[in-house]
Amino acid sequence: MNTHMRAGHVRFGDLVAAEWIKIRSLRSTFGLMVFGVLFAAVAAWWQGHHVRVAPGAAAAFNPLIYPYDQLTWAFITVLAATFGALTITGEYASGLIRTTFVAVPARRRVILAKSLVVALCMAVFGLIASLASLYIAGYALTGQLSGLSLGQGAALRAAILSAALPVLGSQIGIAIGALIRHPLSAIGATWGVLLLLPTMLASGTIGLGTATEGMPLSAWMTLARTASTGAHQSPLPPSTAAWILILAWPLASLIVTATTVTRRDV
Amino acid sequence: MSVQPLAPRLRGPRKRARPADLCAAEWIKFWSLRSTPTALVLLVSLALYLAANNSRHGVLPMAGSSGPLNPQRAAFDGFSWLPAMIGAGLIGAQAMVGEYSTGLIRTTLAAVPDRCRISVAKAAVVTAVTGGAALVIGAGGLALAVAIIHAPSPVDAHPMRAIWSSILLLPTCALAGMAFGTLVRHAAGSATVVCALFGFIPIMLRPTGNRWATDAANAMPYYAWGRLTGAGTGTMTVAVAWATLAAWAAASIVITILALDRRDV
Repeated sequence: MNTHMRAGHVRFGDLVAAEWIKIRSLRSTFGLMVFGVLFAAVAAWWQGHHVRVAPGAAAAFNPLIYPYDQLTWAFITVLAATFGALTITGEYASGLIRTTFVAVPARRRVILAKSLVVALCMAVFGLIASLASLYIAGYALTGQLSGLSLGQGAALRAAILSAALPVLGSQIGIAIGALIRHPLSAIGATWGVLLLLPTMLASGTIGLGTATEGMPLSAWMTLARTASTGAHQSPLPPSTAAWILILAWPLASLIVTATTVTRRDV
Repeated sequence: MSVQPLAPRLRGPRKRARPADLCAAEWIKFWSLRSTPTALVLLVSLALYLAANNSRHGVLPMAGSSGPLNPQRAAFDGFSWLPAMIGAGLIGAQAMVGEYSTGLIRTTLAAVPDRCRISVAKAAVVTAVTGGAALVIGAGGLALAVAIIHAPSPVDAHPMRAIWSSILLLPTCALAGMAFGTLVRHAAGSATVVCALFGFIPIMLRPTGNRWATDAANAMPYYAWGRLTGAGTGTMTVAVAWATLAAWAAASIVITILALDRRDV
């Protein structure tokens, strides 16, 4: 009776389970995540530790820029994107992708399951990094600035958006990985697009200052109110555009991945 | 009778591959990857474009250099060289990691059991290619900048030093990438290390912070090179800057040789 499998589709839950096993069996994944959380924690402490606020001047400071420092979270996002790129280029590099697609010819479902599992992993990672940053910076700033706890509306909003940032980054990474397929080049491209390109666009050197507004990190800075008030402020999109952008980036990435993977032989 | 002709060759003195043979083999491996020439062309054209663009619109404020724009500042703007640095590091890593991911490394090591010579031949090929790219970017970028900036803005002192240090910089990045590739042996892992070290740390660390940050930043090839080109913000002496770059290159080669020699595969 049980010798032949049920005909028809594999359930979506099975695909998710398969993708989860693939991710779990990669040893380096765990190391990357631990490193990311440690980096966020140390950076938050470092940022908060060096702030000296004159008594009574606290109102002039935006406390959110210390736990959610722009550069730190750019790095966290790139790490997440690296993770996303790894999950798909790893399959191409090892050749596992052929088995995967033979086993499940409906490639879109595979991509959907993979994206979902990666997004869930990154949500957990983002949440831990975000909360750790918030409370560690809050601790480092004790007695100088307040407002760094989840009880505050602005901090809660920033914490949730920051936790979502790695999810967004990982989807971009998956799309780049699906397009390039070669691990080294894909990771180089990911870092270039997410870390160097925004800085270059923002500089005015390229003369495309407005394009910076479209980058995911700019949308995050608008919505989470984490833009620093330094001398070299990059242009930010308005709030509505930022909401659209922060949803459009992962969706567009998912569409790119699904289209690329179904259009090719392997 | 028919097997006779082979016998003398088998019994003859063992022939060692000459260094030129090893370099030729590594040269073939290096160029047989389709994406290598593509990546090199992309990197060089991006760097030249950035040099021309800097000459027209000025350099990034974050690069730290202030004062009037001159051709040398435009051509050797630190931030514009970051993609080339990362690219060189990735090319170096690929030279090593590619062998591990395809399994070719076993054949290579079986064919040439003296592993030290393989590392040296590989390093020579990678150094030659990235050094050539650096020469094109440095000299070409400077020529472009001089052509675009007509104003009587004199080139900073030591334009040749800027070009020579660039010719040292990119191979240093490539050799460091090779060392990471040998240590990590995994494409994605070594790529992440290269990107973080050459792309992120120069943005994060500046030699203008506290003592610790200054020392750490000055130890990076990016700032040592910036000191030598006169367009960066490294705060060490010129001799120390040369020594820093050379130390990175030497340490990378030594790590590559030792790591490859000490392991099974």
